[in-house]
Amino acid sequence: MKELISSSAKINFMGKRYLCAVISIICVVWSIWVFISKGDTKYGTDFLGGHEFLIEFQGDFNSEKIRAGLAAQGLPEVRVQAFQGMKNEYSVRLGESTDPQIVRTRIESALKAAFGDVSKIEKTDFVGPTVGKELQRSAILAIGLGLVGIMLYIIFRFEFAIGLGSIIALFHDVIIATGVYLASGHLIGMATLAGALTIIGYSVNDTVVVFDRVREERKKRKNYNISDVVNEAINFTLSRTIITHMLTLFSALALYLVGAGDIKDLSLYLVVGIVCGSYSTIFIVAPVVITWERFKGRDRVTTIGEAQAKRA
Amino acid sequence: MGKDIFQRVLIVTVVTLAAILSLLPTILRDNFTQNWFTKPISLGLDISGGVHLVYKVKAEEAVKSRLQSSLALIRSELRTKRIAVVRSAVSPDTTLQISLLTEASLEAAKNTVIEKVPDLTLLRQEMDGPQPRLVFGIPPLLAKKIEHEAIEQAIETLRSRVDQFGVAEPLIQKSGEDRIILQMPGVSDIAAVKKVVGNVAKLEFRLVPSATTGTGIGTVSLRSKNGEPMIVEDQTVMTGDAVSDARVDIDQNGQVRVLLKLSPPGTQTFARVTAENIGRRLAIVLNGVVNSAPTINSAITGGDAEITGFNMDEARELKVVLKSGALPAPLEIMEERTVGPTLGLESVKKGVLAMAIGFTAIALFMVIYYVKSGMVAVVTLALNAVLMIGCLSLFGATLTLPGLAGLALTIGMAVDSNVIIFERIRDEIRSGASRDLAVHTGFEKAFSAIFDANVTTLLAGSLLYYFGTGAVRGFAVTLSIGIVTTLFCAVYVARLCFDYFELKGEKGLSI
Repeated sequence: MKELISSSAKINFMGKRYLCAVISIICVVWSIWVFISKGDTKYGTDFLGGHEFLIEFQGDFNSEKIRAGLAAQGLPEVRVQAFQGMKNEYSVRLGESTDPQIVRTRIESALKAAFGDVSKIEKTDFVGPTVGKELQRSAILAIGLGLVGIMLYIIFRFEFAIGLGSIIALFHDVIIATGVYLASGHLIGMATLAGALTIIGYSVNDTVVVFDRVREERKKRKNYNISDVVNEAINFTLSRTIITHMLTLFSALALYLVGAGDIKDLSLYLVVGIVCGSYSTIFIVAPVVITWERFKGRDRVTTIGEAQAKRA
Repeated sequence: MGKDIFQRVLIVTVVTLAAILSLLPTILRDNFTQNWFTKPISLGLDISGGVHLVYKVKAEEAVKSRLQSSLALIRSELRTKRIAVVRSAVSPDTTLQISLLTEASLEAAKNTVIEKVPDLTLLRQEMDGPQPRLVFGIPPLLAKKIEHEAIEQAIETLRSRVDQFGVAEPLIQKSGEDRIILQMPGVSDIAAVKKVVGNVAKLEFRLVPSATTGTGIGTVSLRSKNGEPMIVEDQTVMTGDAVSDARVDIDQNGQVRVLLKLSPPGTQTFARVTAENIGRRLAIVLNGVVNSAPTINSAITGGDAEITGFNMDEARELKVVLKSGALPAPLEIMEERTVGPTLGLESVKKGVLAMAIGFTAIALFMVIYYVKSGMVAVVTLALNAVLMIGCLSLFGATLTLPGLAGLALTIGMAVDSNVIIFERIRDEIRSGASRDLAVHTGFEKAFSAIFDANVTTLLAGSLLYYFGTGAVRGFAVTLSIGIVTTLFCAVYVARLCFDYFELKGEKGLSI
């Protein structure tokens, strides 16, 4: 039997919960700051409305050169970005809501005037301003319903404290994943919504697995200390946690490294979300449950971890 | 035990065969019979390339045009009854407003309107300067009905126009209250599509006032093709509804023209009007612009009319839109997307490569770490992939690029179930259980965790399907299908493998 983590491992996770709480709070605050400071520039065409053209160039180009070329042809308001994952492909975005055909012709002739016949429009997107707003609303609604739905399910299957812990953890995961996603220059679009919902559905898996174990252990014992039981359950399931996250990361990373466009966006979100998700079960859901149980007065025994800490 | 295993093997075999059979059209493509129970998996626009349009039907315009035609009726009725009207118009807030000359005619006017157009209700009575004004409206319930009918009719009209385009497998779908989604795979000339699809094609025949009828009351000023104003009667003689067929040809002078064939009632009306108005001009109005206004030389009884002054392309477009009938309301473009034909293919290649890399990495790890049990996991994962694609084909779902990513990712998440079970079996072995028992309790105890974990992912997937748009929905589809196939493969099939090897009298699979 090969083992990544020794089955007899007894890591005192719960002892580190205050340190981790501080780290989490810093990350969440940072992510919210990134989210707010980006303003409307964080949204892709789906959510903001406007025109987007995916253009293939031949020869040596970069986004600054293209932007300058278009500006010189009387199109100063365009945003140019290299299309991640595809060589020589750039996305050109405009905010106005004129007829897409007119805009397309204008861009095509401007590119031709600036650089000659070296570009080809591969893909065009026009999203009306009202549609963008609607999509923003339905994205928020979808994520909200997802969070509430998962919380209710966990409360139904387990208990209130775990549901509470899960929803805090999911908020934590989604906020941080979005923060990192934005900070690395990706734009919020439908792919981001897909990523966020997948993380919401996926990262609660850990919670389920760990607390399934807690539930079982509690049934076995009469007198227990909640913190110890949780810590044991985490240790019991640690191999599984690490292996399965590693394997899902294989898939997501492969998609991120090879894929392009929406797939790259989606998989980046997932990569960050998966990492956050495994952390948050241990350091958010578990402490919330322990604190809740203690608050309810169901647990008065000093934990092994705390006894160790006092001795030291 | 032996009989039980046989049954289970049978179930797994049948399911696998069903998946493979439903994939046959996809694998063999063109060489395969059309009468199979499934079709090849359809590819999303982001893969195949094509045009995606979302229109909003401006349904309130249908209500306004209903008011407009009521107004024409009311005007002529008030004229016959010699009730003097100072101003009358359909205002932008969808009300019909009539300002009368004197207060004395108020009651008579009110009664005339309600009698002539019972649909209208009097909203209020107010003063328009010195004149009394009557404001009528369409009751909200009726307005809703008109709007609803307009949307349904717009979809029908769009369908028949798109059919005439001759595109393979177009998609026309109502979305939300008043949106229509139109997808045409493989089409790249979006400008041509929009010209035909979005053309309101409101055709009207109106008489031009002669010297004797005068140009004052009962007339409107329209633009003619060269931009000059032209006075015509506000009553339409006939509309495009009377057109039963249209075709394009070239007359003796080499002019392109669209020949219209009128329906039997249209032919009658046309014959009567032309007979009564010989010597007057009849304006042919298209989308509010006077196309031409030929003089009526004799009564036209054959039900033929023609419109001229186009180039060939315009004439062909006009033919298509006139045959399919007018749109009941104008359309507004909400979303417009085009994808070139080569872009998708490259992305698919990358997606498949990513899938292969991910799968290989997972398979390697599983076999190294869990040895023979790991092989069982790899087999069930491969089966999982086949079943997922089989289900896509069976449900007629569309495969998009995010859908492909969903497939790759599901493999990564499906292996979670295997890992949960295997780790559990190892735990049981460590705590001293016999192999048989360890396998048994491992599967048993892991099930609740696997089930809960999958239900939550399914919840997220359904939300994404419901709220997401476009290609991303494909991700939700594969994710959700993947959950069902994962439960089947990781729990049912994997368990069967373990039981089978146990039965064969071996010591059980290494884990």
